[in-house]
Amino acid sequence: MSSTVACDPTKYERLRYVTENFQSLQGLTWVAFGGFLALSDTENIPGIVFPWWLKLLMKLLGMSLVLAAVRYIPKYYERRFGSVEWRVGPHDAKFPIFVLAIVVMFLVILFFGPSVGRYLDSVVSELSNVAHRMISDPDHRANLSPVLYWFALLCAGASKRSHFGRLRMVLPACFLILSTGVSVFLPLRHPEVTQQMFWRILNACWFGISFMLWGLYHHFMLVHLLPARGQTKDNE
Amino acid sequence: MNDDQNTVSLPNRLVHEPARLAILIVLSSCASADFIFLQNVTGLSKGNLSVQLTNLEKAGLVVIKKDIVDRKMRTSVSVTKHGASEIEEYWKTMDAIRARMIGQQRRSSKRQQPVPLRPRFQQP
Repeated sequence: MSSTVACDPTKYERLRYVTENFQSLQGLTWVAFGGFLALSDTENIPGIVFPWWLKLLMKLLGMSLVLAAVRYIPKYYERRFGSVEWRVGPHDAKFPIFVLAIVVMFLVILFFGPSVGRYLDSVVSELSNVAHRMISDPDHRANLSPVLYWFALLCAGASKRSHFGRLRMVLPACFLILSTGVSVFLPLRHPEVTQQMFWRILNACWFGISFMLWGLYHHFMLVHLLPARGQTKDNE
Repeated sequence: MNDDQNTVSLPNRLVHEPARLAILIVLSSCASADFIFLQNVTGLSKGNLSVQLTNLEKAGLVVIKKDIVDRKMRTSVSVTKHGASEIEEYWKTMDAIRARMIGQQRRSSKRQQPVPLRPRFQQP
């Protein structure tokens, strides 16, 4: 019989994992969104003023990346790897909770939007001030959003039991270490690094760049998990 | 030990065959999957996959639907309730077989416990 489907429990785990996570493993979507984020973040690089035509070009490029992520990339995956319909049933107890949370959030924003917004604004800015003071960065030069995002993702993925699930969490851990190192510890030890253009670009665009790398990792993981088609002979 | 503990039912041959088992595992992890995905994930050739799906459909374990999407034929396959219960039953049987084998191994290892060695040279 076929070698690709021999009696090996890890292969069955692979089959189950790739089927259940087929949508989230479509990494090129993340690459496109990461590109959009990185291009948007170029406006936050201190000390660089782009000419208007370059700004317009980057905005157009960003929009085309979002369009590709929404429209063309899912079609590419469907053509290349096929499609899977997600099971919505008693196993997905989180799905109704997620929908309910979205509805509640929408209602809260609709009725109490401005007051909640003012309150959250003050709380977030206070927390941000505290965090930046803790790392001796009163000027808010360090971009802490990637650190927070990868930390949250790592915490959310800490409960993953399967081998492939744990494998998938390796990259957020690396990104967390790298983001913390570049944005927090490097300026603390070498304050002059903040004057360098390379650090400024990396600090501003790291969120988008890491998203792109995260997407590429997922894409190659999907390619690796799905063996080449028709390896076996028609033996039956 | 009574007879009930000694007898373990054999797994369903239709499900036990590796290619069909792989297809059923994939289909039991989602609502439905199309032919291209099944081909990619199992690594089976078109002809082989088609034959295995026909066998599973004949046994009433899967349902094959064909519809036209963007002027192209799309074949989607989903597992039936009978198929889902069969695969669940299959895993239970395999667990029972594994448990029985582990038990037998333990019993045989107890029987073959090494005799404690006497010292080779006894002190006078």
